[in-house]
Amino acid sequence: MAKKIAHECSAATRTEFHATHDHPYHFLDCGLPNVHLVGIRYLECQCGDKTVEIPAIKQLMALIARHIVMKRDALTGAEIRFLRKRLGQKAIDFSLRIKLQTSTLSRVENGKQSISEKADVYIRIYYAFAAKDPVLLDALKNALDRVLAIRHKTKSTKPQKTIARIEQNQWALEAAA
Amino acid sequence: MDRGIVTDDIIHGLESEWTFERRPQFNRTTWQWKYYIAAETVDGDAITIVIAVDTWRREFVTVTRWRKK
Repeated sequence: MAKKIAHECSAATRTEFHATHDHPYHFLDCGLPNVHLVGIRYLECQCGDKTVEIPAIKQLMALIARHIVMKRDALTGAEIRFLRKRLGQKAIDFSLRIKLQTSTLSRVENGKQSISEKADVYIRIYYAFAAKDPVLLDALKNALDRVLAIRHKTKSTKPQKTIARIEQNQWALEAAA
Repeated sequence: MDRGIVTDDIIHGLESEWTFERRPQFNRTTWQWKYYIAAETVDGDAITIVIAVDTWRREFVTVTRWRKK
């Protein structure tokens, strides 16, 4: 069996490439299988190692996250993991916040289980608030305005009671009677 | 990067508390300093972030590996 010779990659062993639309750089290190970068420079060594120059990496990662949250298709496990890692949260903390068991989240992230549509939406909303992304927050506000506008158009009947009850020194709203 | 480590793990590792895993090394052939940083991934696993500084080209390369605690 041929043994791979360990060597120090250098200018002599590397070739420089420019990532274009025809030959983009496959950005697997972001944790997603489908992100390709254009307009950057990367070096490929004879040994197969690739070194890439990515400017403004945090802005790029935030942009990818925004794209995931805004997409119409259901979130994949890898995308959910991406959003969690973007927020810098351990699986146990993230699962608590999105009301999923840690073991369920693990199966979801590994593509062994899918999540409900409700959980999908909840993760997107949670990410928008936690990341404080102004574009996502604005999109959420617009979506809420649209829902409320439809509600306002419908004829309202007698206004429902809002009941607040105090228990153990803590207020909670009850469903209307 | 080792399998399973992603960009956000490195960002998280460098933005959180980290220590030098060992003394920086200078490679006379490539004229590069290498800094070995002990950090943690988002999930709390130990990683070593190797930052190779190319003083001639004014660039740095980041290589990251899993590390036993």
